[in-house]
Amino acid sequence: MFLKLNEIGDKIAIAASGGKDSTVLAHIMKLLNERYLNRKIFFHWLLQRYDYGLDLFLLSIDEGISGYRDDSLETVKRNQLEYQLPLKILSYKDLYDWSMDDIVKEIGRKNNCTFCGVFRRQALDRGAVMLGVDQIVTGHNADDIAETVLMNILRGDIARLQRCTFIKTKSEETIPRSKPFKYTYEKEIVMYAYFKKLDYFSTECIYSPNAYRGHARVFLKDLEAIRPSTILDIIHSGEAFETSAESNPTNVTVPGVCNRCGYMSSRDLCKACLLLEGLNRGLPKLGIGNTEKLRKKHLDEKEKSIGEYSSSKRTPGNPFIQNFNDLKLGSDLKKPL
Amino acid sequence: MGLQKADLGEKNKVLIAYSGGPSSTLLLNLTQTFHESSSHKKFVDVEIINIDESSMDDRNIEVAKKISEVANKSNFNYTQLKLESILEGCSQEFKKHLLFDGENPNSTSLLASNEEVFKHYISSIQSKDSVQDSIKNIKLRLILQHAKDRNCGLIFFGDNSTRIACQSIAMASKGRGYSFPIDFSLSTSWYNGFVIIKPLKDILVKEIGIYNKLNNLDSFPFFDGLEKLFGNKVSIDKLTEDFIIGLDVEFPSTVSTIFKTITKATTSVNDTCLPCKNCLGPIKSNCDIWLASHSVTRLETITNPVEELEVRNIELCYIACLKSPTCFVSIWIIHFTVLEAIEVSALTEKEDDLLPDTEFSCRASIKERSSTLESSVPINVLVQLQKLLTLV
Repeated sequence: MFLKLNEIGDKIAIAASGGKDSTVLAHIMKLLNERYLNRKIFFHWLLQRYDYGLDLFLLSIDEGISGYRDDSLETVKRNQLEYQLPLKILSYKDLYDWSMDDIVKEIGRKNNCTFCGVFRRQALDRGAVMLGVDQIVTGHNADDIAETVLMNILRGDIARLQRCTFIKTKSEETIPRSKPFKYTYEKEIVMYAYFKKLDYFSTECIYSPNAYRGHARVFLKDLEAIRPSTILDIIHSGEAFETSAESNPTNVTVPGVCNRCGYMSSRDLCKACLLLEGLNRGLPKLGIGNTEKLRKKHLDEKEKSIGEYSSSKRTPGNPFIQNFNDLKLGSDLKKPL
Repeated sequence: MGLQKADLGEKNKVLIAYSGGPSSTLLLNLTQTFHESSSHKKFVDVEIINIDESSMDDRNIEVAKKISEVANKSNFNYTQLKLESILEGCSQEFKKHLLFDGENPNSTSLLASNEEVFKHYISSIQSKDSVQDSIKNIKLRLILQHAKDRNCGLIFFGDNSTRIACQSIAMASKGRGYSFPIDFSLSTSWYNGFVIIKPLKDILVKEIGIYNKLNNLDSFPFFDGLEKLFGNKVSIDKLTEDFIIGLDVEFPSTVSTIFKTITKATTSVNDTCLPCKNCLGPIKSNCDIWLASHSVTRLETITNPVEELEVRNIELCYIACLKSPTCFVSIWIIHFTVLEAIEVSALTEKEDDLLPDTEFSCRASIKERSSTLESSVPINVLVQLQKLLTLV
């Protein structure tokens, strides 16, 4: 599994939230990488094929949730010291001029997870570009994947339903992401963290109890109580669904880039830019629900201003985020002590 | 409703699966109106079938009578079959084997009725989910057999969109996502060439309820009788139904969203897939490899060397059987003959390998059936086996 997901000598960013999954992931990645790297030194001729030689980084996103993320980031920082891995922290505030606390004040407790999820996904990709990594690994476990399959059916997201079970993303447009714990039950990860006495942060996000995902989570746990193999069964179901490209090779949509920020988007304006525009205009629900008309309308209005936009002119309060193509290897890496 | 002329074929006979519930009541009513009002008949004839579930719950006796009254009022041929009629044609020896409780071979009566055997079989199943799956499979098999006997090319089911939404989530939870395009399509000819059509699939249960109320169409909900066996223990189907209906109250478009999503979902299922011997649905290839790579079930628990040897013998027979055209029959014969030789616990560990030709979700369901091997085998599979053996 480890070798299938990673190429020898890859630069890998571990998405670290400080929670159990990412902590165990960082621990295992570090452990396996060093175990086989050290063996190579002593048994070079015998174990050459096991030489992972991965260059590992920790990548954290600070959503700006006081009382939750600030504490979990402290855990990440402690793990950084223990594992001696470089750490990069990107905050929503720096990237988008909005923290999640600010967003929740605007939008309320409902739908705030939409903002957080969209912004985090892009923030991770931005961080990965800044670190110059070849791949991002995330700590999604089997329970998360099963939950996502159910969620995608419940909310009618057929495109995501068909690709959410991929262990590694197939798009060539963005930095590949993989989920090494795809078939690992959440309880196994917790047990591993417990027995290895790993330092992790176990508090639930203070804004998540109102999320739609919570319904799917409760349902999944009830299902598991009836049939313990349900989680893998759901993943099996999810894997059976084919993407439109697989079922009909002629019906392949070529992903483009956002006209504004340069991030991968199948439309002219990416979801993050649309949500951000809504926030900046005082219309936070602008990007929620069916946004096709809004995207077009908004693009027409802002066409001129986009042309004038340059990343070098970015100032605090500017509603535009830095263009993806202008991102460079960051020099502010926090080096291990 | 998107039904093509090609789906209906040329002058076919229609069999309506009538359960007495609101959807099938509406289906019967609409088919009758459509068939009788049209001067150019689309169908040669229409027949009705009802599966009487009295053996599951005594309260269904009254329900079955009322259903018969309504069905007989229509001008169509009507047949009522009991669940236990799946055992018709089976020898007494075979029934005795089913009744055998594993302890006292003399305890079984020589002339057991089908109902007795069926009830015994159902009561020996330990999981509510497995009972529900068994009943569903038996019903399907009876309907298909009746359609074959009566030469009906079309079978109408009254599944509505609410039911389909609930079923789809439940089936996804059981690992049956692969057969979605067959299970939830408007029409499918997967089942032995019979065209199964679900004309009400786009209609919500609420809409059906309102229509029935306005048109004074009475429905008769039946009882599954499972509370006697399992108390208030919840099954996946029931849990899913409660979840979806509850979610639909809070988020009113839930059912229609799920319905639209699963009807758009595509899989690699096609006509070349093998049918499952239990549920008759398509089997996804390489399921064994998938299971083997994601499970840790092994035979290491066997400590007795004699048992180990027996298991190896089974494996050898199993491999040999795979090359034989009658491999399915052979495998089940082995399944029975090894009963006395090895511990059931050891065998159940190996059930995945001993259940070839079964669909992924059926394997989990079969595993949950019972700790004893006889009742772990689905009755419809047993009956099929027995009939095959009789022919041999």
